[in-house]
Amino acid sequence: MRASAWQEAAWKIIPFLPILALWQGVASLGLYPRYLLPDPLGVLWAFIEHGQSGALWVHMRESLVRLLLGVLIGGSTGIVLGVAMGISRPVARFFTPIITLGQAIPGLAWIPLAILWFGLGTGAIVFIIFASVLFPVLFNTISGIQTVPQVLLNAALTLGATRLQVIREVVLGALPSVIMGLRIGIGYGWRALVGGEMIAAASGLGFLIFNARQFLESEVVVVGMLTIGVSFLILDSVLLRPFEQKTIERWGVVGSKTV
Amino acid sequence: MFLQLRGLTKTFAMQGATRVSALEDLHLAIERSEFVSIVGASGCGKTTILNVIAGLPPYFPPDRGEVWLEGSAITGPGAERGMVFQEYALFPWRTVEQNIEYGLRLKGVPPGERREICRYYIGLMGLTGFEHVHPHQLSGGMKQRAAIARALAVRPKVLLMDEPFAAVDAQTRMTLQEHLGQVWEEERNTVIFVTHHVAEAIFLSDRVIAMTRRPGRIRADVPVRLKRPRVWSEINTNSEFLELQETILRLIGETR
Ligand SMILES: Nc1ncnc2c1ncn2[C@@H]1O[C@H](COP(=O)(O)OP(=O)(O)OP(=O)(O)O)[C@@H](O)[C@H]1O
Ligand SMILES: [Mg+2]
Repeated sequence: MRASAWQEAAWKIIPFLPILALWQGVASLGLYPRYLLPDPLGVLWAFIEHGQSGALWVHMRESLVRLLLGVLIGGSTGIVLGVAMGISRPVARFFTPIITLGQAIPGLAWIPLAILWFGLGTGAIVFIIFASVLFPVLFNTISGIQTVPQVLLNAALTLGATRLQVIREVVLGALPSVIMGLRIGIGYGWRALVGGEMIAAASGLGFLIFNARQFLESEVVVVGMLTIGVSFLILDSVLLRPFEQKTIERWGVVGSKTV
Repeated sequence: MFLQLRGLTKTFAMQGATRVSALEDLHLAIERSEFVSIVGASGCGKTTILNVIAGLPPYFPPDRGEVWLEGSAITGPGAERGMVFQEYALFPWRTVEQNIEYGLRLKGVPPGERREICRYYIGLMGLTGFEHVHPHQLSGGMKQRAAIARALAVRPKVLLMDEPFAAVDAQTRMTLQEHLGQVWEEERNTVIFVTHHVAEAIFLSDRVIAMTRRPGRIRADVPVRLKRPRVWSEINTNSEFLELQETILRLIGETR
């Protein structure tokens, strides 16, 4: 059991080794200047340097706070509107065309307006994350509600439930789908965040890598890219996936069907 | 009369402008504590009858007719008319115990009493040890027993059961039938039990209603006077039972 767990973990790293070797090999040949092809050891040094000075963590914290704010606002708006649309035909009829157009506009396209409205910085970034998280949460909430079988609501009615109590059951039944929407939404939000920070902020991981390019610090660019990737993987596998897994497993087929 | 169906007529919209008629001018009167089964071919409107009595969408209100319970017409769903659905309809997000407790919580029964009632019905339906399990971890027969326990726990005046044993194997089915018979003898609810299975209907009931093919009307109303408690090992070879079965099968036009 223990041994195979170690093996599992090792196999998450092993595939990178030949790539690293090849990369280090080519870089060592000296055919390309360092700013075009930084070598892995250089990247490691840059990581240690920026890690120790704390600059890397300041940018990372800044990005994560923006993500959190955007996800909170976008997620809660998506859930509330999704529930309203899922249980009321008139509300759905009114909002469907609007959100159909809305979801076709990438979050990043809001940057110019976001800057005009909120100025450069956290406000604008949070807004584009909001615009990116909102739609997947909204659509998954609606489809989650639509897949709750009518017979379950009828069961609640025959047990004496009022309309409000039935709605509660509908929302509970849609929960796995809502969580999946949040997971997708946070993924979209993360992309929008990095893009937005390149243009509309003076801090955060997106800013870090865009700014480093101006000084031809390619090692720092790669450090930033890896930090962006790894911190999202950790966020997803430590926070989001277990949460989703838990509801799906405990409820059986409810959640896994909607994938 | 305890429960009366007065001239129920129900049609459903099909594709285009055509409508399919599920029930046509159906009359039926049921006494308190009677166990009545409804048998008939697929599509003759059995599920429609139960759902109209339960007051559930999209069946209620019917196009014409009324359901009267203890002297007043029903206007929608209510806990005094419990239902066991063919699809079990257990809440997947609740454990067995939470499912059974649900109706009691809505009723405002205090937690202590709730737990007690719950324990009683869990024991009655042979689900002890599975209180804290979610429905997807139960077998089909156990799900069905949990659904029955959930409906019984709120002590409905009328218990509506829609082919509750259709999805379980023959062996389990016979056990469940005997079990339901025993439970009913203790509880004495008024039960309307829908099934395709004529033998099952006779085994459980005081009366068997045989329906015509669509649109559903009552073809025959057959009293069953077999003594209770009934067990399959005796009923199987009982000549009265076999005669009844023969008669009803002929009435609903099945040839087995
Ligand atoms: N929700 C619905 N929408 C449209 N048509 C319906 C609906 N429910 C029932 N019907 C139609 O009404 C008729 C009677 O259906 P019902 O489900 O009551 O039959 P049943 O006797 O329960 O059949 P089975 O034994 O197969 O369950 C059928 O022709 C069916 O197509
Ligand atoms: Mg049916």
